[in-house]
Amino acid sequence: MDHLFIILTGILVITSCTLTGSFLVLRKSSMLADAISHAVLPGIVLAYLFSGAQPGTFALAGAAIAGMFASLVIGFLSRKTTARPDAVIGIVYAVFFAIGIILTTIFSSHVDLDQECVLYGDIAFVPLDRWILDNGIDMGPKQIYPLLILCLVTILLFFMFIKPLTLVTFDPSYAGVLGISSVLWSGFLNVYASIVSVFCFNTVGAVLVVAFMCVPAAIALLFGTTFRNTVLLALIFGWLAVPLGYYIAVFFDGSIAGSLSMVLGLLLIPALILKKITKNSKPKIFNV
Amino acid sequence: MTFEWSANTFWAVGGCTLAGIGAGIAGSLNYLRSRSLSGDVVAHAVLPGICLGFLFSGTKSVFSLVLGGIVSGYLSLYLISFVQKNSGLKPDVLLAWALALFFGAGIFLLTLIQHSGNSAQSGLDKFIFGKAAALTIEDLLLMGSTSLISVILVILFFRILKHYIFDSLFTGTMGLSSLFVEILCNSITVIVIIGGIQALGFILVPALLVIPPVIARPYITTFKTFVILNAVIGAAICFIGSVLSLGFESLPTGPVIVLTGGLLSIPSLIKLKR
Repeated sequence: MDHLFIILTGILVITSCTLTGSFLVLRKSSMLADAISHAVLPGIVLAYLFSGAQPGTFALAGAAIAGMFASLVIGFLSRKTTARPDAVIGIVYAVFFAIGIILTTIFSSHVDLDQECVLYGDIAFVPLDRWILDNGIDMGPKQIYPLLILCLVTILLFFMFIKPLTLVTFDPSYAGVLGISSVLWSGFLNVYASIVSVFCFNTVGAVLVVAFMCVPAAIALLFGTTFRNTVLLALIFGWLAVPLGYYIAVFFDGSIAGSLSMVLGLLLIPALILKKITKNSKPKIFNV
Repeated sequence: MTFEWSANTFWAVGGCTLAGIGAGIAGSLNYLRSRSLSGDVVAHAVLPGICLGFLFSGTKSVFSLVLGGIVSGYLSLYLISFVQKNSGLKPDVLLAWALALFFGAGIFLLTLIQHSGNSAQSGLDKFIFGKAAALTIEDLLLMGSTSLISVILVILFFRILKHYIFDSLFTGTMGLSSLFVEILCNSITVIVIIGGIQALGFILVPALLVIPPVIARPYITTFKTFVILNAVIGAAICFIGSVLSLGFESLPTGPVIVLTGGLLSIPSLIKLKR
């Protein structure tokens, strides 16, 4: 049963991440996912500091605010300065992360924050913390529920906003003619990506959120011909990788998040070989 | 707030400053090639190499760990350009892919080592999170030599680098393969990162490569001055940051260096306004 819960957690995480990350990949800002997941640290530390012993929701809110702030700063600096966008990402996330570590050190007596937990996540411990009702009924692991809500909200938003987001992604000037602001929608996308990474990082760790956001979409891009079938393919690759990675981790007694991300990365190699064999011509729409 | 200039402080400040020189040089090359974030990938990608180096040698000897780190860091950059050529995927998503693959594998191996019960493994994560305050003379030598190698390589191949970065079509017609310059730039990045990780840790060392070019960008017009100014700025950031952090004693060195650099880059970002 515990196996199933961990795999379910992984699938919920990867579904939310892939639906958001596909847009980031197509907008050529994949590394933004990496930046946001590092930049949440100062928010978490401050939330721990102000909320005292029972962080939970506060930590999530603090992290989300820090992530949104970082993504807005990155967006602002890339638009308003001539500095290379990737350099801007590199500076902003490092400064945020540095502030987070300095705050942790200054308030180390007040903040009970495990650096390793932030970095590597603790998906293996998901089944241990259970939600038990007053009359003794076991409702399953606590962490499943916020991830389930996140996943449903992400699917809902994906279908609600697929039109403007794809338009802004593929043809920003046409979108502008139609009155769809590309600044506004890309800002929304970045902010939502920071919310998703906040929900996911305590299960898979800050550093590996980028794997879940970008790698399935990268593999799917090799075969996809339209946006919708690329996203569907990415989800299928992601869902395949979760049980595979999980059982590899269990077999060797290693980190589950690490092995999931490794398996996702390795999947690109057979995909690439398959593509070479089938001589699948490169889809034109992604040749931007 | 007393500042005591002990031998330990001297090693720490000296080591960080030396690492800053190399980082500035590598950063200038990466910035001009629009590859600023490749340092980020390399810094994460050395982890599996360090773990494998430990597994094969069974000790925490600097040599085996550094060798492992160099191999896997270099492999990550090679794989990125290999897959890019064969798939048509964009560089940014391949950076994310390589980071995921190598860092995932690194964490996986690290947990295997930690669960194996080998007592020699304790302290392996010091190598990963950085230990500026506890640098020894060997670490200083390592950081000095990585920076020295990067300086020598850039001086030796200065003209080739300059022509390739600004006009790769021209160097192509001159019969210079882009492969050689890519190998050169990647090697400089990898060895500089390996040196810097000792002090700053893997998450913050990429910032040392990214910040100096942005600070230097508005003030320079030629490649030569850009590279030299970057080396000076890299060293200056590390010097100021490490002196500040050791002066305030309780603050960790890596984050203070990065924060110093971040603050110093604000005037340049204002100057770079569109």
